[in-house]
Amino acid sequence: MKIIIIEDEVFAAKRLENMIKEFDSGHKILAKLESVNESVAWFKSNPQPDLIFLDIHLEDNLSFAMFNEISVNCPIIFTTATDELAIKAFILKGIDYLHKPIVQDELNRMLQKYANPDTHVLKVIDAGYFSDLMNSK
Amino acid sequence: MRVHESTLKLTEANTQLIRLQKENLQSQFEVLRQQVNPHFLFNSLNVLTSLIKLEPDLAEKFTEHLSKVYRYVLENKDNDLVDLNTELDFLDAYMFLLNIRFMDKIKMDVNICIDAQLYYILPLALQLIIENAIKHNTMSKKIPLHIQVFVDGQQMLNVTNNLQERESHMASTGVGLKNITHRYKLLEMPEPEFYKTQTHFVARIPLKKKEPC
Repeated sequence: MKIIIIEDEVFAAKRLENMIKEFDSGHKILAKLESVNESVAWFKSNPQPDLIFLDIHLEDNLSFAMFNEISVNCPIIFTTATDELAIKAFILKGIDYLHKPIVQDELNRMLQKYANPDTHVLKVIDAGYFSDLMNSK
Repeated sequence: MRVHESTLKLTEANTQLIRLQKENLQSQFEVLRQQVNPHFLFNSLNVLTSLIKLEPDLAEKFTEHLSKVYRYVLENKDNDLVDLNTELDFLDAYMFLLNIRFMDKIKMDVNICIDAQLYYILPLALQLIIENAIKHNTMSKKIPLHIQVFVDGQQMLNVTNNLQERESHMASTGVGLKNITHRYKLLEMPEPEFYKTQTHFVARIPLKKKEPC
């Protein structure tokens, strides 16, 4: 699969990349992005990847804010250390997430699931989808 | 006589009310104090798992500082006040962890021009303020979050950061800074001040001078 990692902690992004390769060296990491701005720019000038790993708290904003600029129609797996509120919302909305530190077995299960397009229904995530989770200035 | 009695009753009721309010604050404080730690622990574990393979020596240093931080929390969680120099040592260890987590995106200058052994401060106040700054501001290699810690002419500890506010943050209970104010109220000390200037967020935290013995 062609995969994007969006994560503002450099070491965490590198570890996730290594773990994905560890499971299947055929997966390709197209980009590692650290901010909403950077991600929006990337999506505006590149075709959609097959899978996105998306951290919540990015260096310039909450990752949810990127959907105000772009809509994404590939699967997203959120990654979070402790955002209980967000996790409740993911469960309600049927969105996949991984706890950080990411555990290899759980990651493998996700990679297997999304490598097979028959096992999941695609959701389009666009503006307002996560607005209930955001406190705007 | 009757007037006197009812005044007494009123005073009693008032005392009772104040006591209840105080107990209420105290229990809130306990709850809040517990909340500080799990988030930080999981974020740190996340960094640590990343470092173990990528940077083993740094992983070792990170673990040493992480245990310093937790030992401090353990030793001071029941104290109302701690020595300022102890809190500043803790701040060093805490910033070491943040610097690794965020690399060049955060920097801190500490400039304490008083004898820190002669003063007390609320334990973990600095950590809450810095956590708050991280939550509300953007940070990048190009434009880092710059935190300054110093003591002003009125013997207040100042923690300032350049304002680069995030457009949004996670919906939350927003208790961080209120917690500090509550704790100072409980101790019947002057209250801290939090305000924004054009360019900075400023937290002014009271210190207590030790009685000469």
